[in-house]
Amino acid sequence: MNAEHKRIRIAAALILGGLLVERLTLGWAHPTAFFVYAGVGGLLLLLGVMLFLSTLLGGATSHPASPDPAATTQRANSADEKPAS
Amino acid sequence: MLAFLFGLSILLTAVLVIRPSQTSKALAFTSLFVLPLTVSYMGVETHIENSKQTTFCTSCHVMGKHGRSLLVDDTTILAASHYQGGRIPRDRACFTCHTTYTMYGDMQAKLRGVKHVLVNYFGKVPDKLKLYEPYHNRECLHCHQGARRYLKGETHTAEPDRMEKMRLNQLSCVSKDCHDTVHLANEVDSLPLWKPEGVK
Repeated sequence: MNAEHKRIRIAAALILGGLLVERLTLGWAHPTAFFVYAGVGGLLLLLGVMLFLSTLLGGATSHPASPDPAATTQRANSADEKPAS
Repeated sequence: MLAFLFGLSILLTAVLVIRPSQTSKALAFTSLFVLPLTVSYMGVETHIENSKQTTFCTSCHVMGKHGRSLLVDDTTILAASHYQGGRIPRDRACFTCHTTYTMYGDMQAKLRGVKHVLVNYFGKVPDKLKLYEPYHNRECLHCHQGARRYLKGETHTAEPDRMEKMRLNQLSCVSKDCHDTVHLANEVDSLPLWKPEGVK
């Protein structure tokens, strides 16, 4: 499992926790229920969604810029072979 | 529907917790972004609907006496007569009379409700509960304006301009010697209660 999948797992766990809290408070008609819904469930869900989006966006932007190890090695080797002018 | 969507969302999210590497990005986006935010928004709407219920308002200890005042066996008490006479929906009794019937009235009521909960837990509940501002006739006339009994009321027509004054909120419906006994919450413990069958 790579780092991206680990982050998705953490995001999913946060969202799962948030959804479970929200689902449990839905059947409770009490002012405190809304606070738990928004303050605990909503916060967990929001954190999870933000982590997921940052993983998606980070993955999308880092791939073109990140050096491919094989290509880097190849470039290094060819530079070594190039005679000094 | 909401319960189903919550169940589906929980199930899909659980799959991603167990096997994050074997799920497509499209499914991950649906499971971790679209569905959770959708069901969460729908849940907020459900909570807002719940907050309009009489049982919701009276579930806090501080509102207990006001809740019981709806059941006082004395129909000269304004809140009790409205509740017991079925003039307001019994399951939304508080919300019907205490929501400002203006634009953003609902929202303002909800924000004040949030403040009440915070004060209940983290502040000091005042010894005497009172409204933020004097009760506005608009909340009464929302239903009573144009009603035959209101138009023909003996005291309502006692002066030629009285109705106009009430309409303009220059003469309060709950002013002294009019409908001034609204809840009688402080005395509710010593008063007999109406015990109807089939009423929550």
